[in-house]
Amino acid sequence: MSAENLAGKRILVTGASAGIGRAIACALSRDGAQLVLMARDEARLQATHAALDGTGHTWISLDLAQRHTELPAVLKQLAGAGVFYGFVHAAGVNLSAPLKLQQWARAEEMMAVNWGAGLMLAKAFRQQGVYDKAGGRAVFISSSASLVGDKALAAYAASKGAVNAMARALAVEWAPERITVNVVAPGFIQTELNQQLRARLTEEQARALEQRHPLGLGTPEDVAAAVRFLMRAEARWITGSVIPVDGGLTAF
Amino acid sequence: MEHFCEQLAEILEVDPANLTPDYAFRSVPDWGSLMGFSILILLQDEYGCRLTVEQFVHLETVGELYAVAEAKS
Repeated sequence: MSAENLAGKRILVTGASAGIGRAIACALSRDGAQLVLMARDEARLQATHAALDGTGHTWISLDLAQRHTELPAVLKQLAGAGVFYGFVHAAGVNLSAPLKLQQWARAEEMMAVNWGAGLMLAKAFRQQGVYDKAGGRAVFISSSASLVGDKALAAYAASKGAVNAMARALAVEWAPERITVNVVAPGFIQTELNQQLRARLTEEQARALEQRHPLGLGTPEDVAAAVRFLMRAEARWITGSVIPVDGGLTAF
Repeated sequence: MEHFCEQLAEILEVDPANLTPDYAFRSVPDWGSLMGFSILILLQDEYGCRLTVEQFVHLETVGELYAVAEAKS
């Protein structure tokens, strides 16, 4: 892929401090995009910032779920340096628990970060002077849990399913502005966060998890590759799609 | 310990009265991985105790579980 493809395009990435979000930001920077990184952890944001190709990138430390009302003003201000071509909502939390142990607070936090913050981010993006009137891209990171059921995932799956449904509706609403809206639904990705989850599995369970992915477990870069494609000019006719990037998990 | 046993009994689908300190909790009729995961979440959410699977597999009795929960709370 040539560096010119996204040259000068400003793209905001949430959850950019680690894992999938960081890999997406790095991949888009290699295509020439100018990134605005958003996440809670300042030190980790700086680390992502340092890993980007090219120049003109910025970062902003913000708790999306807690401070969603500030997003319209924040994006307006950021757009002062140039309108946004697109955004990627990669921020997410997984507080899975068997239903008996599920709590309102856990479910609420997952809905707030995974879906609600994405909705408010979309609203903030679609303001005059913030988005590029020549057309743009919105990508939400969902999960294979939104497509196939599994134990202990009722609340998490619902929060990611809400993302899929929201994206389809937005795809229709934003078609006149030529803003495509798509979802990438990863299978089990080997991130730092997921390693903690994996530490909760017995060897037998970990093996079973791996076997559900015919191509094995994925990496953040595998997800970033799909996002990178969706951002490109060639992807102009893809919208409202939920694209599994899961090593074959949902092919079963 | 009574409250802990009630919580544990709900997860293990047994009568709390059966859960004596030396009861091997994995011997319940329908023991499965989801129950194990549930116990880990219970210890974390209610007792502030984060166990890894390696630590958890060495615990065998209700009393041992309770000791872990108590040590942290």
